[in-house]
Amino acid sequence: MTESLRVVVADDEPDVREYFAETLAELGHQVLAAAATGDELLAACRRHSPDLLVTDIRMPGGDGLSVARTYAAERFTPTIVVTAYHDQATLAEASEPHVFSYLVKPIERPQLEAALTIAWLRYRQFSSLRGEADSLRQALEDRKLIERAKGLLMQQAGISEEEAFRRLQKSARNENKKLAEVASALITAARVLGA
Amino acid sequence: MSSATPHAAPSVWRTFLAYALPCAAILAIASWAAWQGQWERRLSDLRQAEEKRLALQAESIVRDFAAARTDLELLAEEAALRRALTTGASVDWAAAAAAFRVFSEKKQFYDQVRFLDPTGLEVLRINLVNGEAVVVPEADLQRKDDRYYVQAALALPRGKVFVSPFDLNVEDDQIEQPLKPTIRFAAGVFDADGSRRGIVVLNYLGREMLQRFVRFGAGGPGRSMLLNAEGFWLYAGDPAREWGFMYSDRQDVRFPVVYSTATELWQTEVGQQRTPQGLFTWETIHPLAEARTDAETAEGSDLQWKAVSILPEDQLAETAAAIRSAVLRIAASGGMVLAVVCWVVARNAVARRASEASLVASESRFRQMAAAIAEVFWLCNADRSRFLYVSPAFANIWGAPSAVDVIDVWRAAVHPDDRAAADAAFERRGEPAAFSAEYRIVRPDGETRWIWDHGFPVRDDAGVVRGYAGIAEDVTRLHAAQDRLMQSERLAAVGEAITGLAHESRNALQRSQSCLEMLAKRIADRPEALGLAARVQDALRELHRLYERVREYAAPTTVRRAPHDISDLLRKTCDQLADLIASRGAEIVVERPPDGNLVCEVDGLGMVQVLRNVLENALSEELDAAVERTQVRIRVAFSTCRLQGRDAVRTIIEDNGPGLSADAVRRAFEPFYTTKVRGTGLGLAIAQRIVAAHGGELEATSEPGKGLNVSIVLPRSAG
Repeated sequence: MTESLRVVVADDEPDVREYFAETLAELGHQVLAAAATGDELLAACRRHSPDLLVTDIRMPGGDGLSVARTYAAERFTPTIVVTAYHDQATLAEASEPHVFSYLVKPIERPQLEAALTIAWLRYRQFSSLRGEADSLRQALEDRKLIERAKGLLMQQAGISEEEAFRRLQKSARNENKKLAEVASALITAARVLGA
Repeated sequence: MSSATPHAAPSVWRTFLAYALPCAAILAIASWAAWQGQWERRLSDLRQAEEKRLALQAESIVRDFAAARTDLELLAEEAALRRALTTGASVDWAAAAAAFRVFSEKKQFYDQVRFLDPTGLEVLRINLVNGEAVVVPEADLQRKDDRYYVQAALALPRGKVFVSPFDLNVEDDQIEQPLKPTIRFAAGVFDADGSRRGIVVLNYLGREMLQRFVRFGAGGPGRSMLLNAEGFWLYAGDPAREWGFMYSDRQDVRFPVVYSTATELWQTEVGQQRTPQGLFTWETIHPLAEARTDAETAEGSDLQWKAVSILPEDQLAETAAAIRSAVLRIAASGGMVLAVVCWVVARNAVARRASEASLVASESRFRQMAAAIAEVFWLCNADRSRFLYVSPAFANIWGAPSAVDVIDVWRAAVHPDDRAAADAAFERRGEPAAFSAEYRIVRPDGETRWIWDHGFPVRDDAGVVRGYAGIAEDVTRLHAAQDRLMQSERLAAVGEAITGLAHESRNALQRSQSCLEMLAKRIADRPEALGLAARVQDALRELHRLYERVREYAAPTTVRRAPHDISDLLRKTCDQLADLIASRGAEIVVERPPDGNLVCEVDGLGMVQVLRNVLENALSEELDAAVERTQVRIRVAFSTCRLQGRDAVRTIIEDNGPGLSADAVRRAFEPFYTTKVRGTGLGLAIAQRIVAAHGGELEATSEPGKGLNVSIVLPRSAG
């Protein structure tokens, strides 16, 4: 992978923290912080806003999964979990959208590398999909507003749909606003006027 | 009979009838014989009584006749009469009349006493009127020469007496009333020189004779009758029947007509006849039997009457009925007593039979049951020196026939280590409590079995211990199951412990791994050091594998079933082991049945693991040296079969390694047991657990030098 990621790692074992820091650096990434507890992890995330998290689960001061969940609610961040546990309960807990990979200790370097690459790839795809979804949603919202405005115009002014649409367009152009904005203003005005 | 079976109730009746009917028959016969006997005796008594009476009656008639005839003869020789005949003087005739009168008055039973002359003219006549003898005056004397008896008497020679028939006196062509039954006795009066001087006639009043006749017949059971020779009643007890021949309209009122059935009466002198009309007893009377002189009658010299006594049929029937009812009463009471006795006997007999039958049945049921149950049921005497009964299951469990001295065979089989426990069980004497002991026995074929021997004392009514009864069960499987349970509990504990160690071990392994990697980078320029690091890495990986194996074995086996073709799973396994197979250059031959459907509902991942463990075992290079194997050849054969009544698929994996000894084969599936230097000893154990979780069977057989043959049988579906 050519991209250099800004990563925060967490594990309660110092050897493992050292290992993560060294290996990730060798892979070309930036290790912004290495937390030893859950609280430290949360603080580090908030301070650095990393691209990616690599964390153990069982740690003093808050387990990795719940911290990741908390932080993902503030800012969606792809997470790789590295843990000794693979029981059903833990797996169920880890099945959340921001957990992109689950590795069972002991792991060797190749596994870490592969997991990072895939996780980031998935995240990118996920993001673009989400963006797409967002803009689609927005477009839908706008469409709804425009339709409502059109309806109001047609009703109040007694004009056809085409004519209504043209008027809106004209207004938008004139005021250098978006069509949806004009539509929204019209709707608000109509409400105030009691139509 | 408290536990009477459905067929016991009628059985009592049947037995009762079996006893009662013959008794009843005998009683009936005896009663009938008694009745007949009684009746016969009664009849005989009656006959005797009647005969006696009739004899008396006959005798009375004969005597009366004799008396009358004597009187006649007396009169014929009467001195006064003779003188009158000689002199002819009227004073003599008066004296003769007086003599006759006195005679009649004294006798009182001659209605008329007369002397007639040879022409038939009455010369003397004494009438008896109201008990007074009256001399009839000459003017009223009549001529009687037209009377038959006068004619007959006048014809009599000397010494002969004429007796008229017994009939009713007729006056002026009319039957004199009141009825006057009369017999006329007449005899001639002769001179010394034999010339007839006249006749003497006595009108004998039969009433008295009849009354005497009746008196002599009184007191008897029958009705007395007197008949003349033609069968007309002279005395019938019923006046309407008497003197039938005197009346023109009673000509058929005769005894033989009314009592037509009494035929024998007219044939014999004396007798008795029983007819539908009754019992007739008769005696023929010859009134003229006693005679010094010959008598002559209108019918000849013999006069015959019949004295009859009748016991009417209804009276007889009454008597018979009385006898019958008496006999019946006795028979009935006897019968009731007999019935009760028979009933009691029958009930006891049935009860005894029922209890015998139930005893036989229960004994037979006991034997059947004892023979059928798999456990050994035994009975022994009080000091346990001898068995009284050992059920056939002994032969199965001990593997020895049920010989006479079973107890020796029994005890000899006890495992040496358990002798003490077994002896403790055997040597309880007179102890009140039940006992229980477990010990092993060694069968003749070398197999060891666990026996659970438990029993209780059997007491008699006094509470004394008479012996012991108990059961010896083969609890080998139970022990094995207990062992397995303990083992699995141990393993469960181990599994829990191991799960608890998971975090630590993995973390420790991770630390080791991480540091080793970092170290390797730092000594990259020192090949010898790097080599050491590589060996550490190896050891670490192996440690990791070991941990994972143990975790696998200890973890509960979950089975998520889906239809899989077993041969497909084999292929997947071979793919996973591709590197190992290639490195060993192994040849794997797969045989499958031509139309075989190898689909089973199994946990795909689990079965892959099973196949993998078995194949890894077969591919192990440690096996090479023992058989000098240069080429690993593994044969996998699929087939369909049945397991516990269900369709199943069998997979056989056979290698050409050294195989295992019998001991090793038995222990092959033991966890941590391995013949290899480097092996966890868990592979086959894990495989067996997975197969067992599917409801299947994993077995291994081997002949030393001929490789190991592993058979996996999986039912097609979970049901």
